[in-house]
Amino acid sequence: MKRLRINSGQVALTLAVLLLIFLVVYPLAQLVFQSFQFNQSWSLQNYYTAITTESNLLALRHSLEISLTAMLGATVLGAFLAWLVARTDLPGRGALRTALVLPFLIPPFIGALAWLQILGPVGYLNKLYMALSGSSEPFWNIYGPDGIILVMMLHEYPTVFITVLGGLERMNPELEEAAQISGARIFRVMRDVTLPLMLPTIAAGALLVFITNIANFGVPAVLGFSENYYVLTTQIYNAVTKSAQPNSLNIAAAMSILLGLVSALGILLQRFYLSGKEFAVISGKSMQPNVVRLGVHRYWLLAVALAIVLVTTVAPLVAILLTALVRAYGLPPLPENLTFQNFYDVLMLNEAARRGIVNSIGLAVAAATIISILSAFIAYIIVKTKMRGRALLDFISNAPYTLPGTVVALAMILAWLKPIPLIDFRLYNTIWILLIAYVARYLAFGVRTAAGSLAQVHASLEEAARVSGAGWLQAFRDIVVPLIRPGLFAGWFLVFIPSLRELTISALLWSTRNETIGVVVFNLQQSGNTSASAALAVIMIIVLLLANVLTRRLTGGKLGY
Amino acid sequence: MNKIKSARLLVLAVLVLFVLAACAPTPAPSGPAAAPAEAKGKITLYTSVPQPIADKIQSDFQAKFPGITLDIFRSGTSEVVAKMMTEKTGGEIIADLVWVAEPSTYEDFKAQDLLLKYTPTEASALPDEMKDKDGYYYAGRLINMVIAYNTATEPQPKSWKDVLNPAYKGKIGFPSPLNSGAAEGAVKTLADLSGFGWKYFEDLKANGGKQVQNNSTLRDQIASGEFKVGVLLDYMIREVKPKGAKIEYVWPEEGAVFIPSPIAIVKTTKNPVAAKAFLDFIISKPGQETMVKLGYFIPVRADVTPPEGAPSLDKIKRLPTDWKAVTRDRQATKDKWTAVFGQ
Repeated sequence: MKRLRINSGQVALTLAVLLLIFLVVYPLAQLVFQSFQFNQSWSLQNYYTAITTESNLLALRHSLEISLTAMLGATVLGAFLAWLVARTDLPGRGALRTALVLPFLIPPFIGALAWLQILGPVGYLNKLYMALSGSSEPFWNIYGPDGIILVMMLHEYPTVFITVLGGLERMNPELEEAAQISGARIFRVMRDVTLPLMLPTIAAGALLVFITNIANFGVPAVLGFSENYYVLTTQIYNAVTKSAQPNSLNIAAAMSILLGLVSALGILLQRFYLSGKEFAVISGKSMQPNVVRLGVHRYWLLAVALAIVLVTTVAPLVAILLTALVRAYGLPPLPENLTFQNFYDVLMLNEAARRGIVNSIGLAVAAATIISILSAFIAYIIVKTKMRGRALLDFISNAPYTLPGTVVALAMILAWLKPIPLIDFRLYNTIWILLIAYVARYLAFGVRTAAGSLAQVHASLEEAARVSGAGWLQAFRDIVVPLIRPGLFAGWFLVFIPSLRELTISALLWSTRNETIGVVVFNLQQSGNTSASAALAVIMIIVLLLANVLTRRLTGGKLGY
Repeated sequence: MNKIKSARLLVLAVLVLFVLAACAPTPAPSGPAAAPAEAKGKITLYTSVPQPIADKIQSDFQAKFPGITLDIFRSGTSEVVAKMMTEKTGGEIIADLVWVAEPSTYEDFKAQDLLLKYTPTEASALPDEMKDKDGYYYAGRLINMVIAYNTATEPQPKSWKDVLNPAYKGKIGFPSPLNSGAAEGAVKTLADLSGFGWKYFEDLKANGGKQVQNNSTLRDQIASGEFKVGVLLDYMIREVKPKGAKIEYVWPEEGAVFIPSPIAIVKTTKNPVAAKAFLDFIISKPGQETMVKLGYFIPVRADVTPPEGAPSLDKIKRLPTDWKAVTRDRQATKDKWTAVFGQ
């Protein structure tokens, strides 16, 4: 039992709770409240409008179709690759393990942008096809649902890959061995023992992909807008940014709640599968898993795996780099057309781009720092105290990350559009609303790592300090924080990188002078400045790679790719 | 040990600062508003002028008026309007000036009492068609909807009717009036024109006409050969031709859709002096020369030479556009368009 003296300790913890109310509870409450407001009174009118408007229903259908299809593709691809790497004698598995998660390094909307350069109506591959075949029609146009599915699939298979890889490595090999000893052939063992054992893990990974896809904004925005193909996230974005109807924000709020519900359903299912104990069981590391000898198949399977790396990572990067280097969009990437002019224009002449880079780095550093500190307190309450409502606290700090970013952003708009009473300060249209949204959004990362570290700290250490006369805050500062420092440090980077590449929330909350790098790339692309957006996207990828290298260096290789 | 402690304290101090800064009220706009003296301080322009041109105007203006910081929010006309409406709901429109594609939006703004009445110093230098008769808005640039085509397109289109030529089937682009104010003006103009009407758009759709999100995108799509022909803003083509882009345009035989693209000062501006300075500058002779140079626009006044290869104001054959009707029938136009082309 902890006894908190009514002093430093309670003050600090109360402050943490109040901050959480300000960051998460109030905005989400506003979202729910506004969704029921029509002409300044309670009403279901917004929901009625939201679900009876044909284009909204269509968007919901599109969201489900795309997310499910991409989920299936990513699952098959990811699970198969995980099996190849974990359970076969494929050459170069170690390198493949790293190479296959590289799509995580590139934000999906940048991936979409890059694929546009390859398979857009005048993408390099389509142009090549048209030149060779003499046809005036492209081979395949990536705009629209099929392209969205492809890009989502290629960006999300690593989720399944990593989940299943972990599951396979942790799986107790005795069951497989037993089957083998009983005379089953290796492929039969895989089919009848390994696969059924792995199914909950695969399902959990698949559902994670589904949740990510349904919340994705960048890919359907880049590949859907021009075909007038909308999903829920882009439909809400349109309602917020393009509709001048007086009630558009309230209708968008109702649509956000619907989107949140679909996503929550996926999360509940995922939790259900995760509760399967196979996933949690970690056996000793000394076991030798079964290895399938591929024989002659190993070469073409290696070729397939390399092709996947080539297609998912190398090809889009090369394509977007070429577009960034071409003098005027539409010209072939021949030596005489190549120039650094686009990079010069974007970095030297485009103030918004320069600001975007500075803002994104500043926001990422600030959000990561605030979260590291705040999550130490919140995790402490959750793990180390018996305070009432700490389960609720856990839930609240997780909510903004489990909800789609679009929902969080709209909640922030509705909460902070009007000036805060008493101090009469408006957060909307300032950089602070972005910072608040980022902190809320990624708080879960910090709390999770801090809670993990705290669970390892035995209460006796802190109690010793208290017995020796230290106040709570002093014990927290001198005993607890130093012990969980590695966890806080890791949490810092877990927040830093996604903040740097954020688009979904920023696209709704940015304002003049408060652009982020993702927003500027997106706006340039949306307004048809393909060359400039490609150049800035390349710069963004470089910044992300540098941040990743930095992360690896500073965490001793524990984080980053 | 002490070092680590002080580092920790520093981090804590930074956090506290952030929290305080997040809560602190903005400093009240300083300086006496009474003195009309020198234009200075910060102004924000909401505009649909394409980003690269807006960037150039920004640096050029700030170089000429070093005391003024010009912030620009750039997006499509519908986004600019939606943003202003959202801010109005929140209680404060951030924009000091608004400069979108066409006059009908300003009729809406006028009806909502959002604009500041102002007579620029050189208002008299503008022809009547370039200004609001009530004195709320003035054209800062002239844009025209014309017919653009890829240089490889055969035959080359000459008129609006030519766009329906089956030779272009499936390779025709039209910017969406749901996003672009200029496109909305063009759609309404053609829909009200005898011999055209909505039949023209149905035929366009039947000939494989596709709607495109915005003009800049369509420009790239024509230059890259994705579309053979398209309806596009004249200056956008002049802008990329010197770079070697494979795009050309023609003034349609029937006439172009002639769009004075107005600037207005928002009524709630906190810096009317600087806002007026911007409006004055853009319609001044040097301002229009800058617009010609930076944006390849046809000047809104007769005493400025048009960009190379472009006609002067009086030489442009134009179709009649009733901007009041565009405002009045906005929803009907968008609904009808959606019925033909989809959302």
